[in-house]
Amino acid sequence: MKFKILREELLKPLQLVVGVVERRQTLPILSNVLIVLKGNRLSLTGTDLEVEIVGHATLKTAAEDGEITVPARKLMDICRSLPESTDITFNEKDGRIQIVGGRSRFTLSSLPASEFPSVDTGDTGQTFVIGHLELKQLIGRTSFAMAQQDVRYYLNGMLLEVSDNRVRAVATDGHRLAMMDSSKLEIEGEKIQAIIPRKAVIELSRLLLDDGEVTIVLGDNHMKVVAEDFRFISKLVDGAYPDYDRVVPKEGDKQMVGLREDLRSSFSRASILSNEKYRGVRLVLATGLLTLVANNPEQEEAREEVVVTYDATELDLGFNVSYIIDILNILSGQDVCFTFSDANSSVLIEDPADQSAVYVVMPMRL
Amino acid sequence: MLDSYPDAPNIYFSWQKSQWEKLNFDIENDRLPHAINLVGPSHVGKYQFAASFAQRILCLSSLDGHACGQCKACKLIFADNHPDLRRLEPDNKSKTLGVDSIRELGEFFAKTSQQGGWKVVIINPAESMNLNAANALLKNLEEPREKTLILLICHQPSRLLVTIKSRCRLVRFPVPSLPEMRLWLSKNLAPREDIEELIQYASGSPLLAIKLTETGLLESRRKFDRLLDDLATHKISAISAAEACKENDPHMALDWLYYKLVLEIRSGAKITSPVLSFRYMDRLIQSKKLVQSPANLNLLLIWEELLINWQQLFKKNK
Repeated sequence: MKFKILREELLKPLQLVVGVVERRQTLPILSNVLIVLKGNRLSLTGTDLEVEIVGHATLKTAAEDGEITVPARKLMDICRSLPESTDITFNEKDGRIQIVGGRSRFTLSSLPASEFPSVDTGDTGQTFVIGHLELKQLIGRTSFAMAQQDVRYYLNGMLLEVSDNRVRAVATDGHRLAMMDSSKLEIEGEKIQAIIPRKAVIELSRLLLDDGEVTIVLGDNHMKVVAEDFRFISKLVDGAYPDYDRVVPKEGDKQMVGLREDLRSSFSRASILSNEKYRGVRLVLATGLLTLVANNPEQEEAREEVVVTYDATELDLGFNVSYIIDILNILSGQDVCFTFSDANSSVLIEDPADQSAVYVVMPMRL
Repeated sequence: MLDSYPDAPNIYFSWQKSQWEKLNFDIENDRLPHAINLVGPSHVGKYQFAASFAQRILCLSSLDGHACGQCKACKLIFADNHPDLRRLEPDNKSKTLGVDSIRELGEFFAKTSQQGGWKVVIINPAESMNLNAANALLKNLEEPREKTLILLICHQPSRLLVTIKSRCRLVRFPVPSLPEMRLWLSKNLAPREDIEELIQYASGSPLLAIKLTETGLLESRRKFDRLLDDLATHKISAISAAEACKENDPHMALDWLYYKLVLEIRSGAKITSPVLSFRYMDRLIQSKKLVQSPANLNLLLIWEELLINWQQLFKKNK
């Protein structure tokens, strides 16, 4: 393999890829990046066995095809420390890679490309196109509710449900649930579900931009996201997601609408004196007024009054305040609507102006 | 089938043909269990069998029930890099497999395979799991997932939890028949006169026979036997003999002692009291258990006790 490339053109895909190459690796080859050159298309692959990212660059000059793996961090450090707009030449010789940039010369060790555990998935599975921004929102507005190291392993991830012209993201940790739809997509085919592992969700959201489109392929084993300058492949969680639809309350008849910012600051203030472990806050609802009461084991008390629109029967219920604050932080509209049914049922929270995302929180007995 | 040694990893030994064919039959008929317990004495090639079988399952283009050795999966296995194959072994120091490594397996099982095929785990040996680890594994054995295979390698099934055993398909790996062993050794060793003695010393385990010749263990074994003979005729003292025995690997040397004891009981020529000798056998088994436990033992004391008692089994010629 032999090629020449401008420092900046190599650095861009390399930076994408190095993100998944962890320092602490079980297999030595995982600290390497796979470099494949075919024609004038150069691709760099990094993997931690769970997530694989491929970055691309296009060569301007003729080159010699080949594939090899080299230590990712070292290559990255070398490229970064070379002066700007240097032409870097790669040359493979006897299993070693010689890198020349200006008057600097490096020789890196390498491992054969055939030993690199890259994923080759055919394009099987449900395929659809979605905007960077839409996907980013789907993840950003739901991923906070994913469980973390739960024994119910299928909760440690985000459900992606694809059906006619709609993609739905669902995340829950058993106490709260976040669900968001992105409709107006052109999708045909049967409804399918896939659980994306927590780590992959976080990695993917870092790669997404503010404009442009990506193609997603959801297969039985992998999720593949193809964008203009990267390809992202993740394993899936091998399990069935719980029937989330049963959790979303439908019989709620008592609506409370308030200003999101006001509610958020009131909840935050009340949370100061809530029990540090259980984070319980009491919500007392009367016509036009919401009262928040928090107590801690030291018998200290916080009491907040917020003017809201509410005209149903009086209610008195408890919630984990952190869950409510999380949701109020994620929402972006001016108003927020809480829908209750009774003191023992979950509350449904949404933005009355944009109902694509809904949130459900289970009550607490205080 | 494998006639030569060292073994290629995608091949099994000649005496494992029936086990291989049975499991292959199960693959073809989609009846492969989620967990297999490979039970048999050590050094009969159980691990090689498990490794080959794992490769056969992971291979992308297996031919006639064998891994091809050419495809990407096979290459990854040869490089020890296959992401969907896990081998769990205790590290040299501790002798036991802790609960953490089994918990990590949970993560491995929870996600789909990286290469899109099966996920295979080999635990070698299964009895090295401590109680917590074994119970953690139980969770995975109880809820088998599709395209997941757990291979347990077990030299001493008595040390494995009953609840684990009952959730695995048992596949036995006995020592090969004597003619088979002779044939195999003749192909894998330079011709030698002491072949019968070697087979006897290896208790019929072919790979142990090879190991004995390669590592000089055969000589240590002969020395050990002479020592026991000398003790029986009261030529040397048990204390000095214990000092010499300490050098041997205790697991192996205790087996040698056991073997010698059985021979002596059978011949009955020199032993004074059968009752005493059976009591001695119990004590030997006790010591073996002690040595297998993770406790840090004073081996010299164990040997002194065993050898003094050994000497007492034999009459003193006046």
